[in-house]
Amino acid sequence: MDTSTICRRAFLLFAMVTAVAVPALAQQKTTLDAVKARGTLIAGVKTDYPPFGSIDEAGKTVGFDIDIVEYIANRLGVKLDLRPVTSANRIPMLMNETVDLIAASTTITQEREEVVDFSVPYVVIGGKFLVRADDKITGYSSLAGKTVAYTQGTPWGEKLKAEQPAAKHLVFQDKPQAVLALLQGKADAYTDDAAPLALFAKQHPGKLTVVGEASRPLPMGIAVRPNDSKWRDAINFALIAMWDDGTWRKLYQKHFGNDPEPGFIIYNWKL
Amino acid sequence: MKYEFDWSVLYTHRQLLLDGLLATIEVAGIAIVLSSLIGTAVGTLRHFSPQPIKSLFIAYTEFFRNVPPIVQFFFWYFAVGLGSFDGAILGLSAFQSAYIAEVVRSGIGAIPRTQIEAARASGLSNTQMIRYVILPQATIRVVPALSIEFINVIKNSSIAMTIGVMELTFQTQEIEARTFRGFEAATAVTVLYVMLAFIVVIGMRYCERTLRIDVRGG
Repeated sequence: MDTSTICRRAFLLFAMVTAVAVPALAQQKTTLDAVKARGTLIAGVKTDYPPFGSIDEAGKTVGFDIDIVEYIANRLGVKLDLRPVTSANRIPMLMNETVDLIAASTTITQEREEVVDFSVPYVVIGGKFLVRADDKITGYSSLAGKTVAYTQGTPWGEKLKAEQPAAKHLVFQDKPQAVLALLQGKADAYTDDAAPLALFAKQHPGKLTVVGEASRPLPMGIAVRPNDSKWRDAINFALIAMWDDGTWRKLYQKHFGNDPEPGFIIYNWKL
Repeated sequence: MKYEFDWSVLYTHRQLLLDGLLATIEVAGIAIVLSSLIGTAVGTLRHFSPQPIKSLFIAYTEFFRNVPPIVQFFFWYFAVGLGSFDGAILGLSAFQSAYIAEVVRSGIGAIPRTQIEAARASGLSNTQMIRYVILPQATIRVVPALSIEFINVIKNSSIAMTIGVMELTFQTQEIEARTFRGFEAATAVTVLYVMLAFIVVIGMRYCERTLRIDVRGG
């Protein structure tokens, strides 16, 4: 056999393999089938972010996000396996298939949608400021020249830069350090989602208070790997069912301690 | 793994990477100088001091060596009340100086007794002996071990991001948070840290070679 024959045969073999393999790759198995076959839903949740996900005194992972994925698992008839994730590692954990979905208080943004796919919004949360009770800060307008703390991996830094360019930034990895910096006067305000800030204010009565509006309410979604519409549908339909049977409202009141935003609704996609 | 790499995010966020790299070099560079000075002083004094002063230096070494660096960073920043940058420099310097003190002490301990006896016999004072006989010989012995400590300073400088210093690891997380491109960002930071460590290794090798010229083996 001369070289050209070998080349030609190799090419033919390559073409045949590709012809068989490419359609097989195109109809990849959906995560829905994988979860059902496994009998377990592996969900990435936060464990340091009450009321979305935290560890209670008994060492159990609890929270709004946890109850949501539990509902989804029950509806699919599978067991639930919770894996702790952080803002920084949640997307890699999803993409490398460590988890089937992430319900980790993830705000839906167009940039993120380029990498993952989101469910319909399952809750909306606005941003606020935590300040010392004796300070007169009311919002972005009173933060010129002040130091504002926030945690990395959140959209608050970009928002602050846009709304109040004269503010100084102080960035931490975790929320407790931001609160401590505020208490010590290293920062004049701490901007974050309203829900955890309300908890921190409750922990330091008379010292810290929640003010202003750092952002309009932003939608949060459950993130799944892209191009897996069967799996995303299963999650969306579970969220719809949850809204329709009243579970969603009960869970919201249980975890957030107040009534949900009146304007928020999960549409049921029915005529 | 279904993951498509998109390396362009590193180019679009190059300013973040550059800022982070410069901050890391600044923090680590100052901490390397400071921890070397403190470490050499503590190591030498510990070797030559009589009791009970000696126990003071032992306490310093054991304390700063055995408390996790992140706790020390929080201590300087939240308890003492230093700024982010100063807290990071002091935290790093105190932590690493304890290790360097031990390296220096072992270097001094490795000098043959005869050298000290010869120095005494020549009528050198203690200070002169340390300066002209002990330290030059100890330095050459500890250079390889010191380069490991210096690399540790560079790596541990990433802890500075917990108290708000926007160094290299921080900026990598920032790129990841903005673009969700964690693998690309992690690869970039790995390459940059390896490069920094490599520069230290080359520099120390050069030091070692220069020092060896006027010292006989032994």
